[in-house]
Amino acid sequence: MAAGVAAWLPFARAAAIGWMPVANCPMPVAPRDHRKRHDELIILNVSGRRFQTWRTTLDRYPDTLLGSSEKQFFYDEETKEYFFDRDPDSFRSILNFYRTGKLHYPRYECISAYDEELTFFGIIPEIIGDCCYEEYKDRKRENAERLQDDQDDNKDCKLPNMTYRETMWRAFENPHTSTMALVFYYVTGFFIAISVLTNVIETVPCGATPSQKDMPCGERYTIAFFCMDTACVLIFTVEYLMRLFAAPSRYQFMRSVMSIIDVVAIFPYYIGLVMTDNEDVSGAFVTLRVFRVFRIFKFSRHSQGLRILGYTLKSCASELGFLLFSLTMAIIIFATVMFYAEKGSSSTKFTSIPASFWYTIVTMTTLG
Amino acid sequence: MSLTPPSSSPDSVEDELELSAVRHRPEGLEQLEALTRFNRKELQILYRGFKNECPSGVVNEDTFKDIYSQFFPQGDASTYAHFLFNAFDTDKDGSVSFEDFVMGLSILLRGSVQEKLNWAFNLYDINKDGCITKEEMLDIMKAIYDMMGKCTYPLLKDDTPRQHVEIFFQKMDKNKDGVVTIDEFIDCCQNDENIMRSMQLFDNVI
Repeated sequence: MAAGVAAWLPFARAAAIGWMPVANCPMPVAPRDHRKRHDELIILNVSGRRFQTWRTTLDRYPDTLLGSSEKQFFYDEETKEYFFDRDPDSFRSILNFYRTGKLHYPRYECISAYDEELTFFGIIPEIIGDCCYEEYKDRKRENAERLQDDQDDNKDCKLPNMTYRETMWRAFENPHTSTMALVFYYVTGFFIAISVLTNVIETVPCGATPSQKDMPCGERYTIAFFCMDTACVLIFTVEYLMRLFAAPSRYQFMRSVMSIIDVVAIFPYYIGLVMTDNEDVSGAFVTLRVFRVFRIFKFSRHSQGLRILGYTLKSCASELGFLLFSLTMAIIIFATVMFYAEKGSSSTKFTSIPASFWYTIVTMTTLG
Repeated sequence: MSLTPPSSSPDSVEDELELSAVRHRPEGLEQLEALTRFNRKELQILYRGFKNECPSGVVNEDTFKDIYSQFFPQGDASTYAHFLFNAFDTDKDGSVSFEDFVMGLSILLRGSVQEKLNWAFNLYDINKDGCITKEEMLDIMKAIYDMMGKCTYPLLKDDTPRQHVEIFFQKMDKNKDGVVTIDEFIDCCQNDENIMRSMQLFDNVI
């Protein structure tokens, strides 16, 4: 029952008069309230600011500090008031909770200070009213994330007796812990850059001898590029194997996004080694080389910004998915309309609905 | 040639503002003391509780029903609360002010048996024509049974209210004319021991 409604109890009892003349048997006697005592004003002195309220207001919530006998510990005999050495601004919300039955969270208040006050006065935060609950939950989550980040930063303390494997894993995850780790970090970064550059330069037409037509550099200096590629892939393989060895949970590591990117980056090379002379599948082989471009994603380990971009995409995946879905719907609708609109004329490019997809997509994305 | 009177929109806007911000201040404490049988302290406690739940100073029917159903969560107390509201709202303005409330309570808790029975008769007489018909009584009975909800022992059947009304009329309607007048009602209740004893229960409730 809400706190204030208890004051209407005499009314509810009196309204029972409606039943009396029609009742078949005599009514039971109402229970007497033995604890009845005169209502008195209580003075709560919070760091010098005096709040006053009725005793019955505080008694509404007997499982909090102010509603129970716990407040007697703070009673000052000389001044006949209860003294609390706490923040008077936060106390306002707490006292309002007793008065109105609703706990509000003021926006200007720091979340951890507010939580501490609630804990001190024995009020559980779950009863925060709907008006302020969203705000409270959001701030709490942000605070927890900030604490988590701080904790992660503070893990640099040297832990004694780490096994070789654990040291290696720490070196991989936090490059600034030791010089070796830093060197490793920069070396891998350098080789990723080299690898991506070679992939790009392979396709540039080099200056040709007058007899031959322009050839891409890759075909002119095949040996050189092959050696570069081999070197990079060797470094990447060694790195992947070392990480796999050092990982605390190998299964977890193999399922993580970064390791999948690593595997996809070095796979095409090995497949290429295996099937060099098979002409039938050389087309597929060429396609596989496209996967080499994924090496550029290996930079995510080196760049926090890229990782944040990845997390952002992941967190709004459902919204992006919905965008894709609604675009698809629109494309299908308009392609169908275009197809049936042009069905009559003979020299039309919209020979089928999928054929009109291209037109619709190009028009909807304003490419024209 | 404009025959329409000047538009009274500014006034009506003000009226609307006044209506939406209904506030009511009760008569002074001394006047209420004179009108009711409560002393100052009791009136102060009653008013504080009243104002806490209804800061605007008046209770409308919905708030009334809401408060009442919080005391009887197991059934549907809204019909009975509706009848109660009409009984409290003596000046029929659609809202119960503190004076109405406290005068009603004064009769119910501190009045003589005659006054209480009078008030009960007023509650039953829905159209306030001075006599209770079987239909009115049936409505009241159904409202009371609805309020009890399904948690009664023994379990009630659907025609229990009707049977109860028959018993009531058999007891109260002395001249068998199908209606119960105020005199028949008061007479019969004063002769019934159970009812008399129940009326004494209210004396210490505040």
